Amino acid sequence: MSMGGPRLRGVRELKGIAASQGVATGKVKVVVSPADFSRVEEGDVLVAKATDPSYVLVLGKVSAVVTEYGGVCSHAAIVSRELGIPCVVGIEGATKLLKDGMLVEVDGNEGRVRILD
Amino acid sequence: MRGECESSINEFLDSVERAFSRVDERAFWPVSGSELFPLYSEVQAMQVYKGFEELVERGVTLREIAQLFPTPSVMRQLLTSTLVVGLKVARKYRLMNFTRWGVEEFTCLFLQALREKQPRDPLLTTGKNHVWSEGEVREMIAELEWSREVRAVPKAVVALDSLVWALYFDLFVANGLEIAGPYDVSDTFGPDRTLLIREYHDLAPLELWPDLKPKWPGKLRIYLVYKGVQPEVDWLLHIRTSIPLGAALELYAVDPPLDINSLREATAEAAYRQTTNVAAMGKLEQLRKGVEISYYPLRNFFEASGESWRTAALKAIAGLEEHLHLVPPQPAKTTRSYRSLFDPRTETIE
Repeated sequence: MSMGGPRLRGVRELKGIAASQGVATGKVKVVVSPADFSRVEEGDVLVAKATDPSYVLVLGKVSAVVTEYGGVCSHAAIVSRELGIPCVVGIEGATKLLKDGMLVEVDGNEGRVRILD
Repeated sequence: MRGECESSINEFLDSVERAFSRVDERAFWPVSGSELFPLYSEVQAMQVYKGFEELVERGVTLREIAQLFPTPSVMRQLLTSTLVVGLKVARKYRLMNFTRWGVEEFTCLFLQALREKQPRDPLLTTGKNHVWSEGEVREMIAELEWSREVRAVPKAVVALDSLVWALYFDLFVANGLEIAGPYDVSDTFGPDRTLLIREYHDLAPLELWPDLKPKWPGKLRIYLVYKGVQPEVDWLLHIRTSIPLGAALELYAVDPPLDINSLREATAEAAYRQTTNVAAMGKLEQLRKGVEISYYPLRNFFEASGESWRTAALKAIAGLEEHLHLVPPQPAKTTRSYRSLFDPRTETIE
């Protein structure tokens, strides 16, 4: 049994900071480095610790963004508001709690991520 | 004068506090202010102080000094990166004789120079960054070719912003970008229409990045007309809105006229390449580059005051390496008392 990292035991909703308004549903794609960019598909929900300028290659095709760090002035937040997609920042452990392929609803109005399956 | 100075400092702190209260330094790429600024702030701040002294002694006016800075936001960026805190460090450790002006007095002088650069609300107390007057903007927009095909525009803006971040790091965005506005353009475009102007004033800094090979212009402006949204621009050039901007965009124009898709492709690719190049540098190299980037927009100021910007930057870099032997880089902080940090009347330096 793995001992490291946060677990999603019975949790159906994660709370963070609302950084860009709107609500979107999509499949999680956890991105830890640019090597993961090729796995991101149109409409995915991008989940990362934080984004940097290289994420420009994938941010145009995702339906929502979720990050562990950052406030409403982080890259992820600024870019999401510009693109008009929802963004929730400041969910500690999001890249461990959310797994590739999970269906989630990102609520950028309330700063919540709901796990739908 | 004293009362004017006090009130100017208080307005400055109000504006700074509003912008910085929303910052999480851990998300700064590739280095944070906590990591970088303590390594050289006093060196740069004393150089700027002495440069001012030299220029004022030669009879150069504040208005002329202000023109040596490329944009008002570069002056604002200097105030809250190294200038105020660096001078406080110099005062605390007696690194310099403040013969002409005290730290508080010099801060007021710099704020006055900023007012010469941007007479309309230079401290952004109203959320409006009116770099140009409404009359100047009316003349600009009358001559542009406007398009309603806005679908690709938000992605192009994100690509351009990403290139600015990649070239100048998150800490020095003003080196390449000025966001002017909002301007009420209801008279021209209909009720409830607002204009923001994104001026990318240096997208090809070959002196910093000689291998850049830009396939895009060094300077361009994008004019964006939104409907039903009241954006505000803060001290850090962040736009605050009640709804995401992308959804409210109605019209745009680019000057010089360019194909927005080609521009997006070229700048997105360059931002990616530049980010990966910087990420491949070691931490020390990133810190050195950060110092160099912070001097880059002060080129004309340093030249006018008798020193090349590169020589000035090299002095700071040498100091940085000495400093690192004594104190390792500090980790990014999640919260700080920015009001006290940037107040020239306090002793707070971290």
